Amino acid sequence: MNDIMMGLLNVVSPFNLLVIAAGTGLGIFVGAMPGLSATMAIALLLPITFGMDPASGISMLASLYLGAMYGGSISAILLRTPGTPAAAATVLDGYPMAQQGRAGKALGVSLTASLIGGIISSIALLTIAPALGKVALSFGPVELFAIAVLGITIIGSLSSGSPIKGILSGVVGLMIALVGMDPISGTPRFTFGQIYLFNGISFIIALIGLFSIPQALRLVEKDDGLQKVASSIKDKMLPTFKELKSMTVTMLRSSVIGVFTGLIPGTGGDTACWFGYNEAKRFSKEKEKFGTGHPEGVAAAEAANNAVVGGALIPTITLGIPGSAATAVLLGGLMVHGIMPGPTLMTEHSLITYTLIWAVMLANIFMFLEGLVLTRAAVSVTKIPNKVIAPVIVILCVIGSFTINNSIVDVFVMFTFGIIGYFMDKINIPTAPMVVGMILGMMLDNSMNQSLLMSDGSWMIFLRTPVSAILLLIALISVLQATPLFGFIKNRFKKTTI
Amino acid sequence: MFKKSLWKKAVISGLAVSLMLTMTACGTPNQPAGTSKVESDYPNKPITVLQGFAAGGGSDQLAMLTGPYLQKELGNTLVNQYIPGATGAIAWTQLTKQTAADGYTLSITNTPMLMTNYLMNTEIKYTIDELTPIANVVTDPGILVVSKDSPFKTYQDYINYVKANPGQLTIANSGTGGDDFFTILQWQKATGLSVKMIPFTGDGPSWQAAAGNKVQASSTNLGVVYSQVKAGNLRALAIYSEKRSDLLPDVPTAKELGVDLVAGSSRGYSAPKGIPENAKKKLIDSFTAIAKDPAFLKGLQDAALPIDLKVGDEYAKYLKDQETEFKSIWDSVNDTIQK
Amino acid sequence: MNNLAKHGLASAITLILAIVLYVDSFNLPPAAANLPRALAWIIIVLSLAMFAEALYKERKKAQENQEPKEPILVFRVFVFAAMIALYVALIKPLGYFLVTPLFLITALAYLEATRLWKAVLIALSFTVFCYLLFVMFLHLPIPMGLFS
Repeated sequence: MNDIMMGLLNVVSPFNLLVIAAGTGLGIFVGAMPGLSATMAIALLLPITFGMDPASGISMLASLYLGAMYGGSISAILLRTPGTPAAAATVLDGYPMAQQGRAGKALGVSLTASLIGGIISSIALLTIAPALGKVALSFGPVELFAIAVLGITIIGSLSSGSPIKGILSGVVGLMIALVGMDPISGTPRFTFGQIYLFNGISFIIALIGLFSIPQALRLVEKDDGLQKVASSIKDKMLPTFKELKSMTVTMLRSSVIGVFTGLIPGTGGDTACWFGYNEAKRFSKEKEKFGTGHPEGVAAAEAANNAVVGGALIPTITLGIPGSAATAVLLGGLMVHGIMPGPTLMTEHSLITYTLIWAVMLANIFMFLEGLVLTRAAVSVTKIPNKVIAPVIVILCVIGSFTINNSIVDVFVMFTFGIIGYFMDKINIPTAPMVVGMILGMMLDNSMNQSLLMSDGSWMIFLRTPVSAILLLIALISVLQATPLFGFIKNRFKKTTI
Repeated sequence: MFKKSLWKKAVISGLAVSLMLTMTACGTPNQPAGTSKVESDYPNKPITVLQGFAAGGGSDQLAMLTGPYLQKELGNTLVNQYIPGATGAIAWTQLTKQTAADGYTLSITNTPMLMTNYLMNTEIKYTIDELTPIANVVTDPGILVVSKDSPFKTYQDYINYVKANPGQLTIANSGTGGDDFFTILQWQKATGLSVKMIPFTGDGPSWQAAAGNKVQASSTNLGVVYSQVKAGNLRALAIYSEKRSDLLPDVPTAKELGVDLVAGSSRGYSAPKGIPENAKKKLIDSFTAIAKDPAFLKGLQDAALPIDLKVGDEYAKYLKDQETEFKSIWDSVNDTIQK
Repeated sequence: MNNLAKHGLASAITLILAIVLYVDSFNLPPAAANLPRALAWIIIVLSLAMFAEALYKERKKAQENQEPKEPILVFRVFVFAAMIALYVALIKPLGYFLVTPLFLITALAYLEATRLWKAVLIALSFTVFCYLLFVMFLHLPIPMGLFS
């Protein structure tokens, strides 16, 4: 208890407050830039923190992480270009809202949902971290396989219109993910002798191409571009109490999903946003509104990705297991500060740990305030003519995809995916399922092969542990839900009850 | 209306630019002072360090710990350039094939990936003969760990089980072709026993699978699991180093236990083949000097990275010996792995 | 190209992709080949189904009157895409500082987005802004080309 108070006292020192505010602001800014993910931003800004004491330095990096998670949604909403992979699901409803002249509202909903997701995960971090931390260790290959399978069922629900096209897009995504060195057999797969393909096709690179280049091309299709409705600044940004109330359940559900996705090593914001979005749609009474500019869709995705921050920090501070790629870099940062990350973090370095936890809590509030100010300025992007926006998006994508691996090949790959994405759009093949497939492909293949190695080839291993059996059952229900049979039963049930 | 919004945009971008400028001023690392002290001309401009792995990874960690001391010794800046991909092979191909051998480009070279990359994949064309090995800095010895609630209390319990159940014990490694993968193969060769190897995607998932009782043991590295062993989440049964580690003095070495096995993963610095003699000498002298700096040694100690300085020809010989060893192991298992 | 032909082309491309990868999977050890082979089969089935679906819709559509779509400036999209391709191809050899402002000015002028002097102004300030952000502040690499 004492440590908790000490941490709080430490965090409210003027210098630490300044560092957290700066970190959050930088995070929002960097997150909004396509190609610069939270993970990269933390790695790049790590050296800046060397001059600070460890508590301040790590607090700054954590605030950066949180800020970037919100920042990604700004460009997702305004430009249809997710700033970070974790904002990919935000595009689905955020951009249509902007097109309808409700960019301010979309950003406001995103900001509010981010705040709620962030606060809930910070509370989890502060109160039940030690108990939840153990969950991270209970996820082995068998359980990860079940999660991957459950994730793949999302593909089905993203395929409004033609299920065939959606599933095809998703399966091609899974296939693309399998390109590269297979860690199980140590053989390069589908690399055709190119060492640039050994690491596979980076899904961030593909994501930038699939979303942004088609958008740039669409913007020049017509003289007035897409029907342009400049969003009024006077438009109320923050959701009204009534709107908030209608989204509360969704935001809470997404927050819990985000915390758990963060907890599990190997899954992070990029997965959580899809899970959050999917579950919101599953439980919604207005399923058909999703994808057409429904604020709830934005809220679901954004609450989930910000909740990942606290969730991913839980195993990081209790066990020294990074819950996501960004927290892995954070752990590296601790080491350079001379602190051995591991289970002793909460006992031997309790002051630093609790300062960090409070910093995450406060960063949420800074994110909200800074977000309010920034968003007003950001909405004015909708006033810039489309024909100016289009080449600017192109440049951001080219530079962004180059910097990730310092590779021009990545830029070529990005552009290729862009052209493919444009034509997919022309014949109504959705790109979102492909992105989900690319995220989950390797996880599916690795965990499946690892589990089968352990069980000498018996598939029963997936039903023997309760966690994976339950997850697979949910997956099965999701699939059945989509079939005509389920609709038939539901209709019969409805008729009899009414 | 357009005119007005353009104005606004100009103001906003102006603000943004000035903000960036301020931040840049804060963010630029300080140039090391006292470049005049250097007698030889080399280095008279910043040296690029190619990193074959992403920022924030294990090899970046070494660069961050070593960098500041090395800069002071060399009297010039080191600039990290990250070219991740193909377990370092993209950066090492660039170092050997496309880099001027002037001593102004180095790379962090990790074993065994440096060699196993091209031993296992014919697509990768570089070899260690195209390098000037400068200095090895750390060697993280291999270690055998089990979960804290494992029935194996000692190495003897473990080996008894493996003897009674050949090929049944599940043991995690960091990936096919990684250092731990080869360590287990070497162990099997040395003991004549067999275990069921489960490859994971990195050191973290490997030890976590053992800690969560998903597999029965994990073969990993001391630096990776030191804090977990110390906190009691994992139990170390044996360490594959020449002598016991100061960090875990209670853990016996494999040699003490009658298994002739020394294994681990090393990280050092190398330059392209044929760099000028004075540059090579200056670099080697600098590494020898920092290895005596107590502050540097403490930094490595805090990160649980055991120092293992081998410079120049000694490092070259070490790489060559390892290459021969890994080649023979890989050739002997290649057919069975690819079945 | 009509809708049916477009779908036919898309089906053909995915079909070829699946077959190429299926054949290539025989070079792989079984553990690495199982999932890709299963996926290849699914892709083959789905791409045929997609074509069948398009065929079915085409038949149905022939009976109804479909509302005409608003035409798009195909030529302009094509030229803009070609400009992007050129930009991507030249940025490495010639360098960021030369190619980026050139691309922006040409694109803005071609699209008749603004008057020329404004285009030049936007191009130069944006080029500098990105440089400051990526290189000065984040220490990230950008292709320098002739300027290295």
